[in-house]
Amino acid sequence: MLEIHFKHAFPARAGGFELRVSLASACRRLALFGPSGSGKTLTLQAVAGLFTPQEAFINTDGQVFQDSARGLFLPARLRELGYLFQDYALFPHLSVRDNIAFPLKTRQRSLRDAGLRERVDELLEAFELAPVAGHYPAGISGGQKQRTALARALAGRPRLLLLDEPFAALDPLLRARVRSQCSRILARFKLPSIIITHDPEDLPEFAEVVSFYRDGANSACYALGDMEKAARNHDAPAELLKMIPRRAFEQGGEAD
Amino acid sequence: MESLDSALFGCVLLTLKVAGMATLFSSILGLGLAWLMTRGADRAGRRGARSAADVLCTLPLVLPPTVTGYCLILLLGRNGLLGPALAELGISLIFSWKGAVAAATVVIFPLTYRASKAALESVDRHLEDAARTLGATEWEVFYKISMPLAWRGIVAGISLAFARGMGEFGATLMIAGNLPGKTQTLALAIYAAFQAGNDAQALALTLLTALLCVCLLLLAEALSARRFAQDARRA
Repeated sequence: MLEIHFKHAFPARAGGFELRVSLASACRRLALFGPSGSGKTLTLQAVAGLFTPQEAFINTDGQVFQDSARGLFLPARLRELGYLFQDYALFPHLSVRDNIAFPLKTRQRSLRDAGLRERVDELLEAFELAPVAGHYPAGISGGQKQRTALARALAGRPRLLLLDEPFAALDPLLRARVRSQCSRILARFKLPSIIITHDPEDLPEFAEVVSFYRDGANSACYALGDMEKAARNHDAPAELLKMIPRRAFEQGGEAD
Repeated sequence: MESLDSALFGCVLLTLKVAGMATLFSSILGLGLAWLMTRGADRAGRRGARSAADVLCTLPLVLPPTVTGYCLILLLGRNGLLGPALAELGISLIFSWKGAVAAATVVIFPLTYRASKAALESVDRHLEDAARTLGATEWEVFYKISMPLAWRGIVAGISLAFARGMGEFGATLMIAGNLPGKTQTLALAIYAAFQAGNDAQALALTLLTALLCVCLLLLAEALSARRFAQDARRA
C-alpha cells in the first residue's frame, strides 16, 4: 500500500507554485503521467526524502517516511529505495564497478572484500556490464549508463524503485530496446515501482495504474484499462487514448 | 658570512612554518565552514544569516591588513577579549611566531573559504542526492562524492592562500612585531633591510622570495595538471 499526501507552497520569488498531491494505491506498479513542471519529480523526491514538503503524510507498505503532523521525517539514506535519476547521476570519478559497489558499501557494511566483489560481479554479469566494469561513466554508451544506474539502484536491495523518466535521455531507436530490457529486469527483481513519464509508450511496460498530473495537482489513479474513463473525467488528455499502444488495454484489463 | 647564512636560513624556515601552519588552519576552517554553508542552501528563512556570514568571512580579504591586525590585537592581545583566557592557557600570541600564524590564518582564510565554497557548490546536487538514496551518511557524501569532485578547486584556493601567507606583512607586523630570528619572516626582513639602507640584502631577499613563490606556483600547477591528464584519460 502506497500513500502519498502532501502540500507545499513555494514562495513568490520561486514562482509561487503550489503543490497539492494526493495518491493512494494498493497497486505495485504506478505511473505518474503529465507535462514537465507539473510536480511529478517533486512527488518522487518527496517519497525519496530529497525534498521535504511543508505538510505531508507519506507511507509505503506500513513504513511512515514522513508525517508532518507528528514531526516525523525519515532521512533519505534510511528509506531503502532505489532512485533512477533522469540524467542517471552516475558518479563520474568512480568506475562502473565502483558505482555499483557504492550502495553495497554503505548499506551492507558487513559485506567485505571477497563477498563484495562476488556480489558486484553478479550484478555486472546480470546487467551485461562486465566488459566495461573498469570504465568511467564518461567512456560508456547511453544504454550502458542506463544499465549501470539501474544496477546501482538495485544493488542495495531496495524495497521500492523510483524511476524518473528513465528513457527520456536515450535516442528513439535505443529507447525501445532499453525499455524492454529494463522491464524484463524489473520483472525478475519483482519490485514495486513508481515511474514518471510523459511517453505513452512507457505505460504498458511499467504501469498498472496511472495518476495524471497537471499544474501541481494530480488525478485519481486509473487502471490502464480505464483510460476512456479518465478521458471522460477530463483527467487524461483525450489524445492519449490513441497514443497508448493497443497491448496496454489488454494488459490493463488483466490487471483489473 | 656564515652567521648571516644561518640567519637567512632561519628566516626562510620561519616563513615557511608560519605560512604552512596558517594554511593548515585556514584550510580546515575554510573547508568546514564552506561545507556547512552549502548544506541545505535551498532551505528558506536562513538567507539573511547566510549572506551576513558570507560577508564576514570575506572581510579580511578586503580590509587593510593593519585593520585586521588591530582587530586581532583587540581580540587576542594581553588586554584583549580573549587575552586573559589565552594567558591562563599559557599562550601568548603577541610578539611571538604564534601570533604571526594567527595573523596569517585570518588574512588568508577568505581565500580558502571562498575557493572551497565555490568548488563545493559546483558539484552536481543530483550526485549528492543519489549518494543519499544509496544509503550514504552526510559525512560519506562529503568524502566519497563532494570532495573527490571538488578537490581541484579547493587545492587551487589552498595554494593561493599559502603563497599569500608567505607574503603576509601588515597584520603580522602589528601582532608579532619584527624580531629577527623570532618573528621576522621574509617579507618583514625585506622591509627591515630596506629601512636600514641595506639595499643589496633587500634585493637578495626579494629575489629569494620571488623564487620561492614561483616554485610553489609551479608545484601547484604540476599537481593539478597531472590530475587533469588522469581525468582526460578516464573520459
